Amino acid sequence: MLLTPDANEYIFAFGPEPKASCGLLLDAIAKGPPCAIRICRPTVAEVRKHLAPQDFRDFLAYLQSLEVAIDEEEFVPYEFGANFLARGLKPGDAFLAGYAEWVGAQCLISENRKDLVDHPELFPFQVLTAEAFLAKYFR
Amino acid sequence: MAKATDKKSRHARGPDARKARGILEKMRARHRSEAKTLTPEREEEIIASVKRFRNAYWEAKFAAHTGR
Repeated sequence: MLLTPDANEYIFAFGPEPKASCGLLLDAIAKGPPCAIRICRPTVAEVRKHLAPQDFRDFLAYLQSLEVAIDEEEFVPYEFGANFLARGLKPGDAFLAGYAEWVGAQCLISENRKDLVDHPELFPFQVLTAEAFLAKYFR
Repeated sequence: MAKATDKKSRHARGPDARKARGILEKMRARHRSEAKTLTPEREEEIIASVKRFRNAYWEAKFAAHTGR
């Protein structure tokens, strides 16, 4: 199952104030199949902005150990994001959703309920919090 | 010979999941000494901060693309 975790999943997993479900999500991903992830450069920039340097290095090492390549935003066709912009999403969320659709993700995982998780009707893939994802697929 | 086989089998497993879990565990051990707790207020604050950072970036990008 291909996942695109939002920046806040990594921030809550690698930051000094951990959220248990986000850490467990990364554990589940680290165990390999059935979960695999894709990540784009802007998400990495968001994580960098919100983590201390040592935590950010751990985050990059985690991605490298899983052989996850960072996708450059220039390769994501503008139309994918524009579709979600037209559905009323804010620009940042529209790009993330467009990116998830472009890579063919089955699930976007985010802790942002207000703009993403509470509006499943806007997306052609699942949008779940880490806790809901784990409850659905790992319990 | 045994070494070559080990290397081959390690490559066959693909991404190094054990290493990934080791990184997470090491990071957690470091954070345990700091013992900070994520409060709902702090969680909202972090989510809002990510949103602000992301939207400021993409608002300009989309505007430039559409010429508005």
